[in-house]
Amino acid sequence: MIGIVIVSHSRKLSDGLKELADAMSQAPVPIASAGGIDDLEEPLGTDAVRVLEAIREIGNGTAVLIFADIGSARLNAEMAIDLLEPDERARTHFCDAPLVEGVLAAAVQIAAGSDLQTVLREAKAAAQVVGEAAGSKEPEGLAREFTIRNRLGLHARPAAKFVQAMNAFAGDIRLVNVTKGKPAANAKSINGVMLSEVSAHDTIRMVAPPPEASAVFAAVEELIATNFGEDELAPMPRTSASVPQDRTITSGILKGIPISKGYALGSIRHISRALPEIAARQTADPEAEIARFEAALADAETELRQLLEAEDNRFSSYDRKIFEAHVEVLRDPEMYERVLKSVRARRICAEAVWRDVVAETSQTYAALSDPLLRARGEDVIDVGLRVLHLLTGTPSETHAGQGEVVLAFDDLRPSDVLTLNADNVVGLCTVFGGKTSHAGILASSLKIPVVFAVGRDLAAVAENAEVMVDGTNGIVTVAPEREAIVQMETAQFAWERRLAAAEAVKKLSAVTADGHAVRVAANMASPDELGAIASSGADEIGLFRTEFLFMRRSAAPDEEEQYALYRRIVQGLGGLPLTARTMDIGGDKQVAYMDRPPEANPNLGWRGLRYSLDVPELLDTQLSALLRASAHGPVRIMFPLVSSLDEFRAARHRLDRIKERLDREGAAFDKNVEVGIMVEVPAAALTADVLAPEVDFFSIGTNDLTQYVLAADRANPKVQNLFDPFHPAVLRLIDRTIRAGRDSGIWTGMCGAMAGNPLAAPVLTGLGLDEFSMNPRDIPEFKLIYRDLSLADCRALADDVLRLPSAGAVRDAIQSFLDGHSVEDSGFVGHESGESDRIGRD
Amino acid sequence: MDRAMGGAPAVLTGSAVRRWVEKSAKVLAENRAYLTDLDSPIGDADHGNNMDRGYKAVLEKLPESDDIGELLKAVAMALISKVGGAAGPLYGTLFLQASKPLTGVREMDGAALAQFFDDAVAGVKMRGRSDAGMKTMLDTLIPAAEAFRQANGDGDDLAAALRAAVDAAEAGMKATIPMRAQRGRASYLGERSIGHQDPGATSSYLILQALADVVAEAP
Repeated sequence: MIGIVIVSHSRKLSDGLKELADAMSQAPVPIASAGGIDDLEEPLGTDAVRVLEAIREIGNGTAVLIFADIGSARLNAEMAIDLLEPDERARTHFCDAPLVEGVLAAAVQIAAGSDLQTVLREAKAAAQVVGEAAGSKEPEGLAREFTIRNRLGLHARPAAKFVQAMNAFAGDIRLVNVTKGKPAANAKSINGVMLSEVSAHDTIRMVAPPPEASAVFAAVEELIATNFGEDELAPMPRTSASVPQDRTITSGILKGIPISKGYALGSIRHISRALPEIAARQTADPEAEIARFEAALADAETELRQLLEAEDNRFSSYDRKIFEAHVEVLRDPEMYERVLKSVRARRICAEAVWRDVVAETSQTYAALSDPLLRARGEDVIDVGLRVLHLLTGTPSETHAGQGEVVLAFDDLRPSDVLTLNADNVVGLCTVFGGKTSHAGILASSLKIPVVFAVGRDLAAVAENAEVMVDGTNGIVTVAPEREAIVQMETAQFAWERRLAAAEAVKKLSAVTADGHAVRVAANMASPDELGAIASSGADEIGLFRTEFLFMRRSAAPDEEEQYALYRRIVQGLGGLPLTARTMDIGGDKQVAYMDRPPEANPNLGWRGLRYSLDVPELLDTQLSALLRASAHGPVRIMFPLVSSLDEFRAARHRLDRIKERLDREGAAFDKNVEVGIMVEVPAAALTADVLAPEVDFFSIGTNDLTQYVLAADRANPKVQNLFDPFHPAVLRLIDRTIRAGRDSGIWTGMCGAMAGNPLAAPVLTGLGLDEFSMNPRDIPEFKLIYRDLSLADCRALADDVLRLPSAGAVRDAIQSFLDGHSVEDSGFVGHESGESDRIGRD
Repeated sequence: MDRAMGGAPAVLTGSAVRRWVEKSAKVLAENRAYLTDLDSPIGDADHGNNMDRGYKAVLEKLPESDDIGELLKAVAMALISKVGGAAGPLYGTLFLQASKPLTGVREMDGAALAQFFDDAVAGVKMRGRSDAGMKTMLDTLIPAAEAFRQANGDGDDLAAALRAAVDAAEAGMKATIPMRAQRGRASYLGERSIGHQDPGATSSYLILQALADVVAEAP
């Protein structure tokens, strides 16, 4: 790929332009920033040696384009080119173009895969007007009009996406902004598109040569339908004002989603993320203000570090990154400099200046369409508030107050959970939020009750009102009656007793009272969880989700990196089997460097095995690494989202090829590694008898199976009530799968959320499930329930429920079955686990 | 340093080149404020600082060698990485271009020095895409190179020929005062650049003068 070197007198300018170009090109175009000189007092200038190093940083035999700002920047760029070795010089080109427009145009064209000449031409044309660039006469070809609906129109990233899409087609493609009466522009040119000034609601006419036209129009339609990858909704302002509070609720029962079990009573405190207004107090001693500000930054960092260290084991490496992001904000040199300058210039207190700098910085991020960058704006607010509280000497809202409090958020962020450290917080609840969100997953591990998605009524509950949080059933009761409180306390007592009992049996085998044993396995999404898994009583890893390896980085891990990690896990398991699912990238779980197109129905789209088979290099690398890891302990390989035997055979064929290669190379691996499939597409369940003779095992993924069978998107709160794995249709497919497996002599497991739900245990046992794989947290409870069951009774129950008409009827039947089987506290079961089938798919 | 007939030296040796560099650094340090003052009305008011910083770096990097090509290349690289602004690449190119034919050379006679000046001028012209009359270093360097070649051809000794070059350089430097700048930051000022002596032409003059002084003062 062609690289870019930015030469500017100002390091900030070159760094900033690189940031902008990185964001717009959406692909990892190699860009090096060579701004400023090494002189702390006078950092403005250009340095040929720095440019030389930047050119070599891009390196690797690719062409390099150099863009420079004014005057000596060009001289130094040319100087640097002269200093190159002849072969380097031959592929290095100075591009005489306006710096900002030129770099952006070049980055987008490079990302679109254009050749060097096109990139140079587009960069140089970057400041021309549309008509000149494209020829202003109405072009020839088939035409169709479209209305642009996304928020930004065809600017910035949407324009870049558009140009990349158009560059996939041959021939001359033109864009006419009909609304603004612009002349026809070259739709393959970022400048042509940007200069057409297409805003939201503008009508554009696309003109394309007849052989390409229908495909071009389809591509434009697709882009519009997917909002050019922008979010459907403008980001919600993170202030409590986003929820209108025209009324106050002082009593009643509010229902939400149970996230973390337990019961609590406390006064409600609404957490606002709005920055408070702060009066600009004049000061005679700006340096003292600056010292105070610096002390607050240092204290804030100490606070964060203490949080991180206090609960070392609780945080995965991913969560640690949230802390790191916060520390980065504290150390941001630009925000720091701005505060210093402004305090000195205006001679006002540090908190007023800091508040404004935080507000402006977060707004800048909030305006970006990249969700990661937007999240950074939220980090800025979080950190900004932390420092502000230190500066003003007021405790933060999450710490404030006496007595036991229940915190109410609009929407919980992972950092809220991670930085929660007040002993007097006894419960959490939110207006919005889903249990499969990252915050939800984190919150589910809290030792206090958490209820999500209580709705807007929550925001209307009077501040300081007494509320009772029932995290087991997902209920928030405002101003509970004395009787309800007593009931809650009884339930809590029973729950705590039960927890202790579960803890006592977790290391024992899962065997029913009449002697039927099953395997209890753990789901794992990251090796960070190995510790928790080891202490959970799991017999093995029933599902290792490998996606995390591929996410939040700029390129896929190579075979050696994967092998090293898999080997470490296998060795860490000390002989317990590891069932590794090949990566299930796709749908709403996007990975930037994979450069996947947007999809209208991602869950019905290009994900799982179907994606892997189309991009086989990634699959082959992973399979090879997994096979090599099997030399160090038992490994099983499992393919996700299989919908036909052909798909499985294609995957198996690739695996066999890799085995042959490893054999030739003399690499060690387990030749009899078990190969199975996820049964999560209804087609696979319905044809399980066809699949079973060729696979070594089945693992049922209930979350996807349920949403596909019931046509209910599990991320859509409007149809959450339909999304129920206890629906007889889902149970019948489970039954069918297990039977088909048994007929072919293979075992069937389950690794969806249902497997860890105590309510499901008797039915799944009755249906003959061999392995239950769940969140390790749920294992002790599961074993406790399981040891009370009797296989004969479970079989009878399973026969009965398959014939029931609805999920509700099934649940009732199981509940009364359990009530009759000495399960002490019915409040203990009858809720869904907080487990999600795919961490990150939220 | 060899002497012809016991008079002025007939060749410029490697150690004389090192003394030239040290002298240049001293002179530029002394004239730091002056150069910056000249740069204030028509430039970034940094030429004095830039040249001083550059030559200080040169002193640190200067090898203990008598190979003139190696010495001048070291001067070039230090100036390139430390001067900043346009002067860095311009002086850098000047010394870099001029050093190329001098690798392994330990003494230069008049003809070699004349070639040195011509190479230096060519390098600056190439890098700055400029020529005489544009209110730049070249307004000092071109007349100096011509005067040196002339005097050397007339049979003057090295010291006399350099004296002639410095005289021509001074005239050229002063001639930049009425010129309208056509290169660099000063060119943005258009007519308003008239009436100011060009700082680059001035630093070039000071460096040439340092060379002439080193040769004249030779023991």
